[in-house]
Amino acid sequence: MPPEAKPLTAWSLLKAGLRRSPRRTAVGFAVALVAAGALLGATWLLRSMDESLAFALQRLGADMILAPRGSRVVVEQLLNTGTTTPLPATINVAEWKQRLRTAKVDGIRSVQGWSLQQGGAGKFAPATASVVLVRLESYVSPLIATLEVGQAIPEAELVVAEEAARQVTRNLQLLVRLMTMGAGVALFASILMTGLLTSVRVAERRAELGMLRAVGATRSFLLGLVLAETGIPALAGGLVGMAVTAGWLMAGPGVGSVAKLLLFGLGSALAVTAVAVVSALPPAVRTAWMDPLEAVRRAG
Amino acid sequence: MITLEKVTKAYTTRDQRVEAVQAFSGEIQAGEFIIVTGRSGAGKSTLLSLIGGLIRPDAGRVMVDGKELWALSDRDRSRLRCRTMGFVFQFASLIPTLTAVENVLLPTAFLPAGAGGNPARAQALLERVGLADQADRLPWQLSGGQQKRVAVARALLHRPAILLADEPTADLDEQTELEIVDLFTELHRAGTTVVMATHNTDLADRATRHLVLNGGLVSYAS
Repeated sequence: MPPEAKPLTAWSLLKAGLRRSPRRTAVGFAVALVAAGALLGATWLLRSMDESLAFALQRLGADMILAPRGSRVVVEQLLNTGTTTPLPATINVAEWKQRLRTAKVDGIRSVQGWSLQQGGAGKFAPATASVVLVRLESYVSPLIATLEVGQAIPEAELVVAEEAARQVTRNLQLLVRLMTMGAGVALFASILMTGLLTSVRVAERRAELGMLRAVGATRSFLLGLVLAETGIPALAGGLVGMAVTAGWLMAGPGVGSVAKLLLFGLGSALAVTAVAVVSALPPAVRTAWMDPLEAVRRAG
Repeated sequence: MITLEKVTKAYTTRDQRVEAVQAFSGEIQAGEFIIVTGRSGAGKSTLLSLIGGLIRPDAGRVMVDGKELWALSDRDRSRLRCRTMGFVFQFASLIPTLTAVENVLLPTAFLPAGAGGNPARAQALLERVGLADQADRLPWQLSGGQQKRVAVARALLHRPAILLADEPTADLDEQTELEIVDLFTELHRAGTTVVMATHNTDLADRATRHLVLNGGLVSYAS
């Protein structure tokens, strides 16, 4: 007798079932990997874009940014990501403040210089600055104020924060749509594939599963067995998909909180596993309620 | 004791209804060896499956040791089947990724610990059916006859009080067929109730009773 022979358990039957069709197990694993990866990637990137824009506007505390001509791209980058490439400090802050006072622009609450000489998020610069941040009173429309400020300092490039945010959202809409669609397609494909794989898997093993009923398996045991044979590769694939995607995101800039990323990843893996188990439910129920006699006789 | 009271089972195919078993009544005493013969479609397999609680009768009652099978929950019926019955079907239906001895041990997945199924007994049964040296082989490495003998050993692992065998010797050579029937006879002498469906009427003289089914009805009983 081989030394490994010992009484069987539900776990040994589960392992035997997974070994029964290794290719289908591998496909279930791969589908879950892609679906979890796409889901995590899409949700995390969407969340990051949203957060970074809000963060940048809040941190700068500006309704309008005045910058030297030709530096709009750098300013928009600063607004959208909270960080930017270096921009030389060429603005005499006191002079620009004086010109705004002279022009009697209405509704200006504060004017302050901001240095982006070192790149990054920048820092307060009272004398010589890369850009000037203008905070308006709440009753003033930034777009109307833009006209008056433009007349006072014609050489300045004016970036209104609200408008920049809207522009960025418009520019990203296609990407957002594509990412959402990608995650949706991956999930939908995983539902179809998992349901199909489970149907094929149980169809080719009807006689064995019928035999299990004959030797004492309950319906709920068969139901659990089929669902576990689907859920385990899906969970494993989901976790690997999460790890790969999280690694890819962490290798990029500004990933933020790693703990949150892993939490999102775990959520994606569990969501994909749940989808796989739910899509395997119809064939699993059919198997649990099949006629064991018919199943065993069909083996011939 | 097994009691069947006016048990009826019909199947509906695409265009017709087939009465597989019609109002069958009878008792099978503990320790009997019953052979059920009849043509294909006569209802032999259906009768065995009804006795084993594998399929639900459309009408009538099936009782095993005073318990009505279909009054029990699925869990209790499965437990009763697991502890008191052994099945041998026409096809071995072994699990391809388990070795011969592991296939024999299959009922242990559903038996409580210490209920009689253990590796030593599985090995002894494989020796009994002449497969002692094939224990670690996978089903595809065994011939059809050897697979059938593994299925017989599997059915006997937990010393069932009732053995239900549906065409257990179909597709086997004469020598293997005799070995299996000898084994069943030996089990019967040891007190096991054996109900065997077969096409081979020559085996009838081995049994304590012989039923002939025709169109779901008993046409002859001895």
